[in-house]
Amino acid sequence: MAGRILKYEMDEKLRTLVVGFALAIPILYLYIYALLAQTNKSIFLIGTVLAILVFFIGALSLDLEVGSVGLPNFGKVAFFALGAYISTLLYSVYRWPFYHIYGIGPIAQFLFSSLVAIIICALVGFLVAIPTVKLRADYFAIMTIAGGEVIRLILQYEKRWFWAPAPVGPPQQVISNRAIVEFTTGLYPFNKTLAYFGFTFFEDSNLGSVFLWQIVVIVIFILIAITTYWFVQQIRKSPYGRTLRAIREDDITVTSVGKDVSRFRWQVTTLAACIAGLAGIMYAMTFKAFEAGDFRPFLTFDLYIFIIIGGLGNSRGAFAGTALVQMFLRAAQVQEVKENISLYLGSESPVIGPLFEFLQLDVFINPDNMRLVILGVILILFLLFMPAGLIPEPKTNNEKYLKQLTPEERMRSDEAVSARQSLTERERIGNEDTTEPSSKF
Amino acid sequence: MLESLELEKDPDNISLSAQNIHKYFGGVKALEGASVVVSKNKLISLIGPNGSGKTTLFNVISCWSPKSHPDDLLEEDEVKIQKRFLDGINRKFGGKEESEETPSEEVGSVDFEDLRLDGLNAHEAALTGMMRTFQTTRNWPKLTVLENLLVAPQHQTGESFINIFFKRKQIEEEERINTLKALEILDFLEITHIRDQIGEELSGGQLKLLALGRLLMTAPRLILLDEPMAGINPTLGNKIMDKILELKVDSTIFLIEHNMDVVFNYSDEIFVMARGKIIAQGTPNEIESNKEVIEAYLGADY
Repeated sequence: MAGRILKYEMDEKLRTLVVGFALAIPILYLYIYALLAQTNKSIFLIGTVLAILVFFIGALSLDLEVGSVGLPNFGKVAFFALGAYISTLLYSVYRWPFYHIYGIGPIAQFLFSSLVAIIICALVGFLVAIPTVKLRADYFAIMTIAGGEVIRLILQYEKRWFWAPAPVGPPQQVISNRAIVEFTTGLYPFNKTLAYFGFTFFEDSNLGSVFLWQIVVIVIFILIAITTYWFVQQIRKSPYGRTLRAIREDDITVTSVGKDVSRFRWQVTTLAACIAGLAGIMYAMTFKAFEAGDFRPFLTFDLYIFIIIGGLGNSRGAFAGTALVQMFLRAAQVQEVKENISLYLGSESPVIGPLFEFLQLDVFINPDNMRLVILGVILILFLLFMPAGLIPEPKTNNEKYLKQLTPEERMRSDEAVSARQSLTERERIGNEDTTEPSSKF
Repeated sequence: MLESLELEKDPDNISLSAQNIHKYFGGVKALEGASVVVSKNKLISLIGPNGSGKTTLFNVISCWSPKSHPDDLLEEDEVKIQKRFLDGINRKFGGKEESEETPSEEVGSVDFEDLRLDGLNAHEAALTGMMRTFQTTRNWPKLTVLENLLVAPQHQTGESFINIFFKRKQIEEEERINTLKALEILDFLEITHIRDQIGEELSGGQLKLLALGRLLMTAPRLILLDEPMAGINPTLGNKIMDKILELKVDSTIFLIEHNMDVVFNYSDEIFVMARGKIIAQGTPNEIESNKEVIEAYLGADY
């Protein structure tokens, strides 16, 4: 019943609003609960914001492939891993001579290593794309999941290149990104709290202290996110994006009008690889220490959850999905939430205690160990009742094209439409008076 | 009779010439040396019983499926296959001109005007100015009708990735021109009223007209229509045929059709196919009285 109401009887905007609130209110409640339990609230907040921005860019990259062209890429995590590994290793292991110039050196080195990481991601994306884009969607998914795993295993076992050389002893598998640490120690003002500059908002409102570098990183990440968003939107709005949507719907027809479908596909796959590499660089900066085991396919599935809940083929949806799910995941891991919002099923629980004692089960149900179940249920409900997601892909309309015409042409076209409409209506009723509309167009 | 007709054709006035086309699906011989020559600015029909290879011929002509070599059935003849393999290698890497000697009458060829179409990809073939429709209508269901038409024009500036950011003015100008053209085509096909509807809302007849419109956006010189009237009531069918007839001014039309009234009323020339071969060709009057055609369609006892 509820499903039917959701499906047919509610206005689309109202539905988005209702479902959005139904999803957002418990998550916000959980998040605020977790936030208030923290001793240093600002770090928790900043961590969430950074994670949302990182995964938003990853989700954008995935959405560009899945939502715009219909290529189900399940190997996205490999480009995360490549971006993170190459930028980190180039920055902290293989240093160039200009590194020691105070102030500029490290930043230039960092930018250079990021650029190389993105270029390598593009190359690998291109190499993966060339043999796979001609495959059918399901085989493409299998190939990409395999390719992603291969890249992860190479990173895991190629000790000579991808393990961090330690000053003493054998190389370490865990890579630590020292970019932020070095910027804050090397560039003096960054390691001061905002209170040092006379900005005491966070201390006054009892949120803990905030360092200048944290604000700078957030601002830079937001700028990167906005730029990427703008970039993806430009592609979606252009004739290029229109052809991509046509390919998603029926690639045979696109070929029949003389367009090289595989060119569009490899271009988008390469571009999405670049964006995912960018997200990987940001991932390394945010989470600081990582190893190959962090880049299992689960991360790709997380991104899928973000974009399916948010809405496929639509950048704002990707952001909404990422923000909601990330806030839930972050809040669920907090110790106080785990302890206070939990259900104990075991020998001591009333009524069903004997049964659980007989089964020798001790079960704690709390947001953290139920998070995959909860996300799975939400995902299934979305796929069943709102396959378009929280913010559905905007319906295409002709306004964009008709706007380009001169007012007269526009008016003539609109008149022709209504004249033809009334004519077909009369024909349908069976009226004899079916003269052709005279207006040209 | 066949030879005499082909000789009559002026070589400058030939739009499409497919010679001796073979196509085998495993052991099934779908095409066995079918040849068609189509003159410019004519409406040519291809008729034949089901399974006679009409659509296969279209697929081969429009490069959707590669043609078979006449020797493909003689697989036990390894020497022949090896020779062909070596020939191919020579042609590709050796740069030897010997391969030119391979008699093309034996292998078969597809020529569109001055272009040899064999070996092109489907999209490359479409770029030469030869467009086709499909037996089952295809469209882009989530795009509006106007957008359905706007995707079609070839070599759009806005379809190159770099140009999105650096040639905005040019793209805008092109979009404007294409929009005007699309509106004109909608008007020509008398489906202006569905301009703002999306593809999945359309009826079968409207989809057929939309497919025709999409193809007109590219200004083709040769149009291959695969059963433009399948599943359409006779009134609308005649309307579609009238529209197709108007296209004869600019382009050649080659169509497959099962509706005999339409075929005999509208065609300039008719090819009849049976069992993978062209068994007769000629004007409607000649075909009507051709004994072989009647046999193929209705059985020998008729």
